[in-house]
Amino acid sequence: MKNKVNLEKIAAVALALGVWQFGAMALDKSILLVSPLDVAALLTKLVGEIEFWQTVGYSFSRITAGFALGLLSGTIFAVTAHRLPIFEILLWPFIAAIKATPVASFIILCLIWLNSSALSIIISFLMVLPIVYTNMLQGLKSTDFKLLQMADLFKASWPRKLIYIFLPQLKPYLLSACSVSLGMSWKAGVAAEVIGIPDGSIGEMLYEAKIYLSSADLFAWTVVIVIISIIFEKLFNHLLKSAFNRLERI
Amino acid sequence: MKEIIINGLYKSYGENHVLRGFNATIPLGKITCIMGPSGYGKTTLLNILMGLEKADSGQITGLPNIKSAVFQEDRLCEDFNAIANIRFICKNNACLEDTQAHLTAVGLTDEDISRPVRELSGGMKRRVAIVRAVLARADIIFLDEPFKGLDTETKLLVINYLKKETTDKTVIMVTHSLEEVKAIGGSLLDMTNYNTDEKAINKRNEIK
Repeated sequence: MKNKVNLEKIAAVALALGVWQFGAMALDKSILLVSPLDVAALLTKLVGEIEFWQTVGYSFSRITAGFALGLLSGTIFAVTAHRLPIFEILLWPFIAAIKATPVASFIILCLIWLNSSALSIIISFLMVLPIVYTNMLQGLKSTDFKLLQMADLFKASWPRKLIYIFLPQLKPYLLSACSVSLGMSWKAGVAAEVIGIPDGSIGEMLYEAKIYLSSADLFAWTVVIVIISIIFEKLFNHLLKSAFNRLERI
Repeated sequence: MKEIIINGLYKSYGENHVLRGFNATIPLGKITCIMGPSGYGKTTLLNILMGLEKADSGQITGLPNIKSAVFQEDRLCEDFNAIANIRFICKNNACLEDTQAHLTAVGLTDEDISRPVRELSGGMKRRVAIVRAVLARADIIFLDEPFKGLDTETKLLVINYLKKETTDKTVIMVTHSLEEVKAIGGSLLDMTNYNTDEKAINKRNEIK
């Protein structure tokens, strides 16, 4: 069944690439729509260059740092808000503002306040924080009250409550938050780099593609972003699920 | 002190007066079974004794501090296996030494023990909850309809296990079955009349 689904997905991707190739050939203007074969050729050339890996490393490290910071802060804030309801109330305007404010406003504000090299960290952090905070708080609030009562009667220690009650309860909320926010952090992080143009970032490459009207570069770097984002999301979720499975086997 | 003394216990939920001046004396180191129709406050009384709910008024003295329980629901950590569920409540590793033997004694196989609790049947979960309550090594064990979902044969096995493992311990069990009271050899605290018979309300509920 899984193999059938995988085959169907591969067939769908092949069909989409075929449509793209056909469209590029029909239009015959690479400045408007470059063919997937040209993009593949450029990508092959790029991956052989040291600068490519430096550029990927630059953006990856910053966006991942922002994600990690958002995940950590969101979790700490959610735990604090769960224990102290006043903290949830006090935090509410900030979280609501971060959710509602356009990402471009934050980017410009950060450019006024900070160095552009820290931009993608901050923007990625701001995208992840409300998602993780909201999901984790919801997870904590839906913790089985009767299980906690049982734990109190048996005088179970706090670390045991965390491992046996809270973490299994938070698992679906955390997985969902990470899945959504990982994609968001990449999209917003690269968008911030395009506006802030920090030296040696993927955003700078996209900006240059726009300046020189190089569709091939634009498509190639977009493919790179999509691939890194998907690999990172799959890898992170796999590690998270493995950690939870290991926990259940203790 | 050799007994738990309950004096004038009141508990209401809005207009619903569940306990109206309930009095009783429960001996320590013995099994006491509480019986009575549904809605007469058996579980409420148990919850108050367990410290999960507060009485509106009244006094309880002589209640041991270290408590364990089989709740009306199993209240197990569903993602973990039976051993992990017992490890969860162990203060030290001493109670883990013969966990496997205890679980086997209530009719659970090695395969049942190794599976996450969510994959076990209702009766199996109930037995894990019972072993957990016993291995908590508490001074008092509360059992709220502990044999719910067990077939006759398994029920007998579990009753014998409880009788053996709770010798000289204080056990308070809520049940609807007189047969279970007889089988476990407990004294009976009947709550049938105390809430409806005005004379009985203020009378000390006698254990038969």
